[in-house]
Amino acid sequence: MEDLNDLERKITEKMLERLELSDIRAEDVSYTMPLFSSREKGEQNEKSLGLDSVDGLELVVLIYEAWGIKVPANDMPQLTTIGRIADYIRLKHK
Amino acid sequence: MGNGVCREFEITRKLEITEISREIFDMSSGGNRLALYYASSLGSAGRYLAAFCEGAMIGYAICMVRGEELTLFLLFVQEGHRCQGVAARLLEAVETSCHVNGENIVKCCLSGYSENFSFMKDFLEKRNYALSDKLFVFWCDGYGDPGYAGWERYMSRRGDSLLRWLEEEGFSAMALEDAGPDIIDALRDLGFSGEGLNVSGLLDGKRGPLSKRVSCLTVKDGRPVAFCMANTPDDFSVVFEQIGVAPAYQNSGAILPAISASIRRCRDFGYSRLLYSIFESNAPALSFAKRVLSYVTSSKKVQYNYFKKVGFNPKGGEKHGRFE
Repeated sequence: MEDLNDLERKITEKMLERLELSDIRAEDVSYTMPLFSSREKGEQNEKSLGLDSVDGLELVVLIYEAWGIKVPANDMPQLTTIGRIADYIRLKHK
Repeated sequence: MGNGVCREFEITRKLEITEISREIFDMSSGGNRLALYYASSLGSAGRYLAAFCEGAMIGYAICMVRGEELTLFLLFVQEGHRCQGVAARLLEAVETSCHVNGENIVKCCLSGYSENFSFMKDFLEKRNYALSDKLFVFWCDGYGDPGYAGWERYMSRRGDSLLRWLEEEGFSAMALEDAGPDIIDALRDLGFSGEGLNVSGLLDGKRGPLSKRVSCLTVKDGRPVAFCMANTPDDFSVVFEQIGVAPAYQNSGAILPAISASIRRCRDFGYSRLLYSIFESNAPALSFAKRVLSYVTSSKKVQYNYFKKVGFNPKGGEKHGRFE
């Protein structure tokens, strides 16, 4: 199982690999960038990574496989950025 | 050109629709296959106006009415009669029919790939129509590749393992035809995400009759959490009317059981064409289409929607536009 050092970077790299986002470099994904597309028009939406709900499910499976944490469906809406995913993993690891 | 008149066909039976569409179909037009498709699939929601010159049909407008909105799908004038004001008179006749029948909004759908797109765009803008939104229309031949074969590949590579994960979490798929009254009531009560989503309206057939055997739900703890609502306008086509997820299950992948069950049912019941459309402003749905539905999608076109408020005239208006 993965350790928690440099967690944000590890999440980013694993996410890009799992979702086959080979055209995006890990260093271009900020830890506060929204992962999912939003219905709201505007700047924030343009800067999101553009993931969809099935990508969200892929992320949940990834978190389980890499860190052994099962994310219940109710918690999934809060995993909106790499930073929040990292915080969630740290919290559940305690 | 001699005197002409635009008039509305009073269509009450499907047989008449077929007869009218044959009459239209006989006219030389690239859009006639589309005209036939619309004429045969709109049912009682269809409204048809035609322009005649000395007794012969020289153009037509094919519309659909939903509540207070009339959607104009096709406006066609036969070669040899163009640039003489026939299209303008047909459009006026469409607007007049709204005055008479109580619709407030006329929406015109323009295909971005149509040869006369820029002409029609100018034509509508000159008549105070404004661009309201852009729609991407996707479809596929289900038996080809991508089609069902592409979908099966996606499911075996990624989707099936995700479905198993969801099943372990208590999510399951259910056809609408198997849903009991408690599930249907819960479906009506839930606040689903989406622009203008009205599940009750869909269930009540306000956007055309739903196919209960290909429409599917995702259910968790005995309650619906996502849906894929579809209708079958003819014996070989399925239109995914609306896809939605309950707000509490956003970004959870809860749509996957419903949509994969719907696609499998489409295949099993022998439908060879799937269609769905997404507004440009619905970024999450477009992202989903790109990443997941692209395995089943083979073609895409862009539709520009123009609208104009015409207002209901309770005193009615002249029913049919005339031109000379």
